[in-house]
Amino acid sequence: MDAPRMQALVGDWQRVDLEDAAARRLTVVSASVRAALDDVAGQSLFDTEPAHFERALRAMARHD
Amino acid sequence: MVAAAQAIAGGDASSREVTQACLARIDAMQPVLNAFISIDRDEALAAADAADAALARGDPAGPLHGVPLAHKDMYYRAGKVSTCGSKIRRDFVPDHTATTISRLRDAGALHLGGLNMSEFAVGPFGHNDHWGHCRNPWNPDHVTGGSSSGAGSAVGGRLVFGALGSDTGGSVRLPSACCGLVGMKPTQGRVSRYGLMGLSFSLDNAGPLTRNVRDNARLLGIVAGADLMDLTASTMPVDDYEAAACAPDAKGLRIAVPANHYYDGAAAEIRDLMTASLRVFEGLGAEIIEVEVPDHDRLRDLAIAVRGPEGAVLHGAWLRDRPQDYGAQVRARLEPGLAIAATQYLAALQIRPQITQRFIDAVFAKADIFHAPTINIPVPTIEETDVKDSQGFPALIAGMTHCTQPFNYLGLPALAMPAGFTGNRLPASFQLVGRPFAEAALYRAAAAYEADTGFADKAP
Repeated sequence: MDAPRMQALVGDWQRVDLEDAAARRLTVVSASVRAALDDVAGQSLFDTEPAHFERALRAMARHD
Repeated sequence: MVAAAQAIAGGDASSREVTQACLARIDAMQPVLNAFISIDRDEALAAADAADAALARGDPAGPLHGVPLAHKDMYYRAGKVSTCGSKIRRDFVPDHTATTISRLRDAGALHLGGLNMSEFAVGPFGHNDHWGHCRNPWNPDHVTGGSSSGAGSAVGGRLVFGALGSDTGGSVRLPSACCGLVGMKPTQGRVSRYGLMGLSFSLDNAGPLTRNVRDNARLLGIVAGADLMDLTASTMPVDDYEAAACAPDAKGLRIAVPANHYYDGAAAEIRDLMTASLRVFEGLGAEIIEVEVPDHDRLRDLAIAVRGPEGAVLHGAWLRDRPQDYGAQVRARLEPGLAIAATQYLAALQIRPQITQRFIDAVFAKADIFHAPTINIPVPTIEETDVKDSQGFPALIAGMTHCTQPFNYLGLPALAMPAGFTGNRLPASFQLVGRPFAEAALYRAAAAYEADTGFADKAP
């Protein structure tokens, strides 16, 4: 993903006009996010939903 | 704050006297600090008179009866302008009142005005291109920290007795750290977000900034708890935080300190101050244990994968139609969310319980509380950080939020505490982090530290 492609993607998907500097920044951020997610890919449980986080926090709380 | 409540309830001072004193201080310091966006003078004095009349009638007094507070200008009050620190919403009038504000009102608190903030809560330094930068009460050439900048400045500068801020990546803890205050980012979902301007629904937290631990505990105890208007607010029972704050104890406490991440790039004087704070805890009977924290090389990107799209969806229409009405850096920080796919966003949320469990297993299997710097550099100046959207801003922001951001993604409670002063005579700070819903344990330990060091007696 390079900056012109990022500009086209965001312009087409989101209808937002990115300046050149913003497009360059987004390519860096996008690559970094992708790498982080690749690291943890496959580690999440199949039956997990975002809404389960509060239940997970309760389970992790100290129960004296 | 508690002392003011006791004085009013006990008849040693009237609410009007206390409120007038705050207003006089605000009048004197507002031109220097720019802590407020709006001041509701007449409303506050009328409410103070009503509070005094109620006491005279013998009506029962709530825990904050007649005490003047102020809050980050993103806590909605029906019929009152809430600017969200922005140009776009400078005339926005919500039609509903935040649950937190209603609970404080029911507790008897007064409302002095809307506090300055980073635009749309985006910004760890406290800059605001529309309403003017907020300034540090210890040295007005330095940042207050953000995004709850006005809360840090006003409470630190003794303009108000306490304030609510919000924390999505550090925005309660950073101004607490920069302004010498106690600041709590509670467990994710501990406090209702109804009526609170959103930035990232999965990472936003409402939290108090106060001068001391007991004040903080009382304020959190009033606003925390389930809310039918916000079903993401947890139904976990609310502990008696103030009782915990009034029972200081660190004896036998196992305190974990990080072997990695939190001291990366740390200034030597910050390391020294953190070590000194740990020596205090050891003197109180605590044990210090070093631990390796997992996953921290990817937490920032996971947080961006969550916060980015959530912020972008809230601001999408404005980014399309009126991008010029954002501050340059704020716009630059909202744009990345436009480039993150829905599957990436959901993947970052889906993995969140496991990432948090790994941290719990690494730290809290061996320790009761985790201790780390809140910021690992001395409080910077306004001039050196006011870089708009220049090339260096991402690194500057990453440095400022290096120690705070992890706990928003992990959803854990984190309490910022004063830890002395750096060579530039600005405050330093550590944060205590606990298991989910362990706010009471944090207050208990913090109160022990506070009693030993007397930091709450220091003022600018």
